[in-house]
Amino acid sequence: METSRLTEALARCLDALATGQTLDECLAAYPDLAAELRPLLETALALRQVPPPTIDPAFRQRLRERLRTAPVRVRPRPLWGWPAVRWAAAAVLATGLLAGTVVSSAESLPGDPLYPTKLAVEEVQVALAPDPYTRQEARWRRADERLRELTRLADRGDAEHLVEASHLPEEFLTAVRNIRMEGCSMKINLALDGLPSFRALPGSTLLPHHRTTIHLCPSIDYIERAWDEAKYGHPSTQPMLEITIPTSYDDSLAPPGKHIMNIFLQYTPYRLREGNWHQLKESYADRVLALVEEYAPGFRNLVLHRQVISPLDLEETYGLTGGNIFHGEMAVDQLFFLRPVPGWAQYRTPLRGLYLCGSGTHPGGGVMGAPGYNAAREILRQREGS
Amino acid sequence: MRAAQAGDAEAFAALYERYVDRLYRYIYYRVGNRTEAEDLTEQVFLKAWEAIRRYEERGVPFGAWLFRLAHNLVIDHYRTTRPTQSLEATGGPTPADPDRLLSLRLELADLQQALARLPEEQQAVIILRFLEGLSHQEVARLLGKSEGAVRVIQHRALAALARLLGGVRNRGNIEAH
Repeated sequence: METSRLTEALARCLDALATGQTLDECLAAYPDLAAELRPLLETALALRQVPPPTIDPAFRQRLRERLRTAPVRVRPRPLWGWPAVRWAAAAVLATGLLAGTVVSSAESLPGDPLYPTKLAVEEVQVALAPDPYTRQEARWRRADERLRELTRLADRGDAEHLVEASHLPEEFLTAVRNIRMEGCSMKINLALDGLPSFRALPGSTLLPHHRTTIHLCPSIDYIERAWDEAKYGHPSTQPMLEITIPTSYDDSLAPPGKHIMNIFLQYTPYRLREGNWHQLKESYADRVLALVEEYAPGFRNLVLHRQVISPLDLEETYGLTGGNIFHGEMAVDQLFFLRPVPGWAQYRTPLRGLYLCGSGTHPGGGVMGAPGYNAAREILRQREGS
Repeated sequence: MRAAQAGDAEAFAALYERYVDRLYRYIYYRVGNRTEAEDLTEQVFLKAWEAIRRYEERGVPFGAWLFRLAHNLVIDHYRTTRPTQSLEATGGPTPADPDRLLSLRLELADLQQALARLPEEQQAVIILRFLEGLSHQEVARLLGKSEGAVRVIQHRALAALARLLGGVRNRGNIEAH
């Protein structure tokens, strides 16, 4: 259509004028439309010559002052439609208000009264970046800040109260409470004076098998017995061990000649029939090292230092509920479309805008990033759809 | 909490510094006199100050959000006050310089007079595109329209302005000779 061609030509000519072309140069590209374009372009050029109105500096200053002192009715509002935990109290702690310092919105978290201002300031920082490089940097900073906020929110306390139960439908809550999430593995990290020499293939120089994952579990029956004890709340007398020696690949992790060894072992039930892990873990670790000694004579003499991480430590130190490293038992009724709970396997939750990812979602557990990737895709899909 | 509000105010003041000039100009072009422009600018910021908590839920850039506040306030302003405009009453902060009147240049008052006769969205496009120097894309974003739609509005608006201003400019021409 002729009008739309004229509209497009006008838009292009205006862009060209903005980059410094002259009126005649622009018109030369559209000889047949030149007569119609010329008055329009001349008008546009004339508009650019109009001296702009300037704001009265006294007014500008007065209004600034008025805004600075304007009383604001602060009503803490729920973010994403859900009032979550005690945001305000935590913000007070986080921002050092108790020390009487004046804070800016920079330290606010989602749900704080200051938070929208923070988002606005960030928006401006991105928008006003003088070049694409700086703009991208501002975007990265913004993304970092979101991560930092998430970490602070997660650190704020017990995972159970990240969201108040009253905001969730009962059947969802019931399903979440019924997730089996008790771990039965633990970890021993060792600093060694040298490489262990295994009975099966002796030698304490670096040999091919030192660079593999080493399993100490001689038979299926052995595993069965180990699990049987755990069923009744006792750590396995003879656990199955999974051993790696990272320094066999990267010797910069330890001083020359020294090594690091990680032992992952099963089964050590989170819930013990007798005693508790804080009392028990060191003596249990002694038993494990004695077991390794059976396969690698002289092993215990190599141990310079050890770190023992019980299922209870996994929960208390790393926030792994029940000490379960998979964020939920890997049983068939808790996998695939049933992970984390039936009906909510698509990374969404009953709360609009709240998504789940990590090992507790499909295809977790494990360390591979796929749940996060899938969740991000789901979020994008929903954003585009809405 | 009071200290927190003070912190908030500091951040908001920074936003104010970024946007106040541009918003004031936008409003001035629309209402054509300083008193009303100042009054409406003040209202925009006071409203923004109160409503900033709602900002995040819209998911639009902050500048666009402020601009829409201003845009809506100007429309409300015309709804609640008489539709006649005091075109000649004030020349704005640019005094009428006799030399300029004789030149081919458009004066603010002439422009304002012509602008006032265009439909809402044409006014907005003219101001943002030619007086504020935004790109097609930026204007589209601010107005919540497609770039194609902005080009069409721009075309109509320039055609209308060319007609309206033609008289003024020709008169200027004659007087200059």
